[in-house]
Amino acid sequence: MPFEDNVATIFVQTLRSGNRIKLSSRPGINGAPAFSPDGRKLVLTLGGIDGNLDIYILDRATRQVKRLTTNRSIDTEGTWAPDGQTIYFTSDRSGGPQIYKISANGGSPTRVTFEGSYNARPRLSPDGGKLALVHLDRGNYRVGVLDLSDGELLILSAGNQDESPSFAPNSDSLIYATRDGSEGVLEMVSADGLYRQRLASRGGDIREPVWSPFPRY
Amino acid sequence: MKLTQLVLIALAMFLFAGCAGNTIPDPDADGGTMADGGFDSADTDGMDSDGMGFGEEFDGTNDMDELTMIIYFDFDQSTLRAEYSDLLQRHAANLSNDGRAQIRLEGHADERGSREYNIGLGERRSQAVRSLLLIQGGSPGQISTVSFGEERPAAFGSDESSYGQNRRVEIKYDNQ
Repeated sequence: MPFEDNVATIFVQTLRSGNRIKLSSRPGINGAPAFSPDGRKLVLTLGGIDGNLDIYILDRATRQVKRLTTNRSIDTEGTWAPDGQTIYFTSDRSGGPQIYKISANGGSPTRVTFEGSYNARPRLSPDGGKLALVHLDRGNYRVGVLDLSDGELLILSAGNQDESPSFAPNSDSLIYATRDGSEGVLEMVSADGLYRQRLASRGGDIREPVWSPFPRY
Repeated sequence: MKLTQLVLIALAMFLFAGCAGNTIPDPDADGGTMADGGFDSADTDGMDSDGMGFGEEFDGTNDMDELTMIIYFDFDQSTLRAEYSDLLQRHAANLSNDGRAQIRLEGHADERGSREYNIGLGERRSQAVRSLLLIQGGSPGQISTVSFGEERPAAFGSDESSYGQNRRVEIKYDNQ
């Protein structure tokens, strides 16, 4: 999502060829793109000329977009449940950022997080049972995992600016970005929080890690 | 015409009054170029007497160098601080006096929290400025907005002073 010509634009880049296709450069914000599990659609955030950020689904074949949310709040960071039927997203419609879910076919959103004043940037575990998020914990932004069956929130990280959690394909561990001084570094943690390790870095600012999926051969 | 302007300004006052109670002067907030002092709710009916009330008193380009181009915001807020009332009236006057004038509002957030949500915050900040400029005489075609979220900080520290400098909207005039 580069800011080319000062406009946020979404591209799809094919890893093998490096080819890049412009997918969305509508007026206003074009952001937070995420592929559906079957790769045919993207959930994304569009702002339009009046800057009201809402969640949309873009069909890659037809280039048509379907609007999922219409609230005047910030609705962003949409992500797919592994079954491709549900979108989880961040919205500050309650006054601060919390996580909601909505059917990928539309309808009314349901609030998912209730603990604390800041829960954002949801990511589902591949088994669909847990939700990783960024949680404001007594002044610290930390990675948490919400158990979707019992609603229990477990804080997994110990920094003060931890972000971008991503589940491993087996749903048992996560990788996320944290800070070491002014530098971004990566840490891994088990989903039960018992094991945590920083990944060695040769320097440079590292952010937004994503675990690659199991190969589909 | 005069009456319409009065109504618009009254409406703008109303918008500011809503947030006047929690105005905290920020040492970082003032670029030092505003000619007048700040503005708060007690000053509501003093607008005419300080000569700042109406657009026709400003001659667009001549004022440009004197105008502050950065608006700062409180944490997780996109509400305009009352102290920016005069400044934004001047920018709105520049737009209404010169129909060819174009501005871009660039919204920013501090680095804390999630990146995409911060894009949203930056956008809402730039939209807050846009709304006020429209109320005060700018036209939609003159104002574009973009949000850079936390990606283009003005200060690089991880402390409240830096955060305060980064929660901002930058006003950029095209071709000037």
